Amino acid sequence: MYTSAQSLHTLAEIVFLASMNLILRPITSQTNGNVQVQLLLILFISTIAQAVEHVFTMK
Amino acid sequence: MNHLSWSEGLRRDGVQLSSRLQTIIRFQIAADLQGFLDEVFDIDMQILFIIILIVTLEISVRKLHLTSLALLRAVVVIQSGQIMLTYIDHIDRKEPHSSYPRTFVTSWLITTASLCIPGMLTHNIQNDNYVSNAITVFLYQYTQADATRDIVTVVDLGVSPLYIAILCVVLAVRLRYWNLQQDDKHQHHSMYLYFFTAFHMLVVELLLFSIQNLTIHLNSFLQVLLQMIAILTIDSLNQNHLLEEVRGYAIWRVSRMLLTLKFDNMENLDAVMTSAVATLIYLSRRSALASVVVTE
Repeated sequence: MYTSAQSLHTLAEIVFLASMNLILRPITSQTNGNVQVQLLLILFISTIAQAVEHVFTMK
Repeated sequence: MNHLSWSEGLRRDGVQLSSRLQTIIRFQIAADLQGFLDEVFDIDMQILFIIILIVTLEISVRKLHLTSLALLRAVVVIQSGQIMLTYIDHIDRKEPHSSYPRTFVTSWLITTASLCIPGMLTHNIQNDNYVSNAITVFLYQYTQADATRDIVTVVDLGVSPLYIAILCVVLAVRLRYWNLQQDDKHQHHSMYLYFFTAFHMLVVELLLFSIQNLTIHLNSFLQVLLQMIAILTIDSLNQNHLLEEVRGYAIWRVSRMLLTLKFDNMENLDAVMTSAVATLIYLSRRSALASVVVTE
């Protein structure tokens, strides 16, 4: 049975991803900016996301 | 789901959410890095460069135990998929005398055939975390590739693609479920596994594109509402978690569409505000009201 709790989870995922896009968009849209710096920033965010996953998966 | 404690439930949701966030960040990294590589190397050199880099990093991490290079290895493996798609696009478009329809159809066919490559990897390699992440990102890249998008947006299917897409989504779920019911050990190692997953993603893309096209004259809130209904329907079909990658793609697609719509009186919408709203929804998902009143 599909529950409203599951639909809330899906909704939360959509809004979280939208906020992540809002964070990434200004970084990637700076065409006059340094590409290496942009990549480093995104890699940094990626490392944070990986760390969060690691924290959650720790027993 | 109900038997989980509050903290255990939150932990499980957190893993799923952070994994999803990582996928889209990796997708973004690959797209940006490709722009950088295009400026520095020719496309032929890029392939050679990425192969050498993958082999070097694999030896460094696996044999020499330089674990600090593991993140770089993950980035490079994901990038190899992006370079392959760019190369296929390049070899097809550099032919000056080819007509445009031939170009994108052949490009799409070659790109689709490349989906068999991850399926050829051994089961152990596929199960490696960084490889499975790279395959997921590759599926996103395939669905967002120019050739694939052209197929979805340009080819006239004769009847409304919406009906075809709905039929395909239902069939895809049923067929996948039926396949998993078979006691066939080779099913999970099939070379065509990712081909079918990509097909499901393509169908979802077609479905959401059709809804977007049909509702373009409506206001933004109604457009979002209809897309949300489609997502929740796909979600409800995914009760046995058979289409997790497809579901993830659909969620990502809608979240991107949210940003392209112009909402009145919402110019101040920023990352902090949306994160706060998402956190509230995320916490309320495990609240007593959501899990008791509705699931019982």
